[in-house]
Amino acid sequence: MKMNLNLLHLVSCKAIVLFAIIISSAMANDLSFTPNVTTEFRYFPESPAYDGQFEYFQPSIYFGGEGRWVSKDRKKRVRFEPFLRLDLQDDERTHFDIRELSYLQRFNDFDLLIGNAQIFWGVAESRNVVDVINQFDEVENSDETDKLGQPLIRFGKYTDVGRFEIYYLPYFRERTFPGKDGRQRGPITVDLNNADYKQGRGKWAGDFALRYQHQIGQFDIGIHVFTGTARAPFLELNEEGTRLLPIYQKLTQSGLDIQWTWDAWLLKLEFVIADQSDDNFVSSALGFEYTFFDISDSGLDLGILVECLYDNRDETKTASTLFENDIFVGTRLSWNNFYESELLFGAIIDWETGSIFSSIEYERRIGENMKFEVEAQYLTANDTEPLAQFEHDSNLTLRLTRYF
Amino acid sequence: MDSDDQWLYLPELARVKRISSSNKSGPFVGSEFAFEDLTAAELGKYSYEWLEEITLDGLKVDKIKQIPLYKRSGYTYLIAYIDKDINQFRKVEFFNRGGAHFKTLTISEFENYGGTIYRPMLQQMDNHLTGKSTTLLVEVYKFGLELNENEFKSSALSQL
Repeated sequence: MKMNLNLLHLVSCKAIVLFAIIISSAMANDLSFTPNVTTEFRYFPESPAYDGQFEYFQPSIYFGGEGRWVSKDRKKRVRFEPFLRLDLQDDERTHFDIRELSYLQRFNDFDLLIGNAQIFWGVAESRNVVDVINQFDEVENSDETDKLGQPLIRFGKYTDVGRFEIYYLPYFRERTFPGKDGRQRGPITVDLNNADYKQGRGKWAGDFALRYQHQIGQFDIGIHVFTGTARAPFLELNEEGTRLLPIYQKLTQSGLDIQWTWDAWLLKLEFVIADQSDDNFVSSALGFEYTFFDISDSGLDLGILVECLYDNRDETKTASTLFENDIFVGTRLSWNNFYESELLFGAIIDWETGSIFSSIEYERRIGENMKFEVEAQYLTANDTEPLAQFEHDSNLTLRLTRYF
Repeated sequence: MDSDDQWLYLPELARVKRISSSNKSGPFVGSEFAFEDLTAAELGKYSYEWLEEITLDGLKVDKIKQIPLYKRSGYTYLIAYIDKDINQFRKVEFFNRGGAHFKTLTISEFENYGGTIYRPMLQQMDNHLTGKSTTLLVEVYKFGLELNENEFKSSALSQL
């Protein structure tokens, strides 16, 4: 386990979301905007490890919303999702992003997506090695679930043998990091004003990607090729030894993701071969998910997840510090009740050093338009491990969201 | 028999995920409807036995026993009452794994959408064990829409 606190993003299976969206999209032919506001309270029980870091409490508030316009014939769609967080402790965490502002036009068997968008590729739960389009909003949460909007043009085409997509990404988004005041960082902070690019034209170098997706019986298959700027920066100490400079390298990768769905089993594989900064490496996740449905007619579902993570990059060249020989175990408990109560537990364990990064999260709705979440992150690492830098940063987070 | 194929769209992650559809008997979001009550009613999902013709609330109906072919069904059998005049289900009684009649679905307020096309605007599921009930209300059905088969591909979930 290396430096990045790439937590676990267990997908919570909420069938109601699917139904709600199908229903709303069938009905909608005009403009809608649903804002939401969340108050968040993070508590770090241990004293900070480094100078400048705040102690104990991190209150913040964030505003989001989903705007949508769908034409009567459902062939044109505009989505708008702004995001603003105000954090009392870490100035870097106070930030604004347009998660999505995109226009989609569908024709008979092809479609065009233009704007700032969120794209997801992959099948695994602990880490998606094939998911390369969007930059992570690392200052939000270290678990790789929050992503910055990516400017793009996507041309998609349906054929009898699957769906093809071509992406052009004209502008690069830099990764966010906690500031000097923030927790879950190393002893030296990242200098966000002096990023270096290994390609000419820097942020405007442009990326290209191709993606193919198909379903054959119980298999969902995706193949992709990406060439452009790597989303994960190599962090290099500056000459004075006071800051870490993010260096964005050129990346060319091709990858595969497969899920086999059979009965209550999901078998998953994500695999990437990459060429970044004169280093060739593979990165993969292989695992399964099994669900015991409706246990003893109680309505309760229990999912068991196990994934093996493997990455053999040379971190002296391509130090996008990621999971190497780790194993992920997780469970998902869903009550299937009116409040959509759900309990998620996951741990990423480095089998070589015994380092553990774990989290447990419970969420439920309150009434018709509020959601409550509580999340605890616990980590422990051997002193020689980079993860040991965050050993003081186990924390408990409470969130209350109101939807309007 | 094989289960349905199901995909789920998770808006927070912009993720389309294929999920297991072997959950048949569990409740849908705490309601009295089970997942299997909400999936498409296809002829091949049951074996059928015609029992008799009776009068239900003044309507002539065929009383039919339906036995689920899917092994994870929460029901041993269903008793369906089909309106002989408009060929629509008026009532369904559900028998649990213990053989007890524990739920009844009442289907009403049919509207005619031209010719022989009828659709119910109200469906009520009563659970006789818990005394709870769930109502499904429909405002409008639209027919004759121009739909493209690509709108039913799993990847189209992210384009809604």
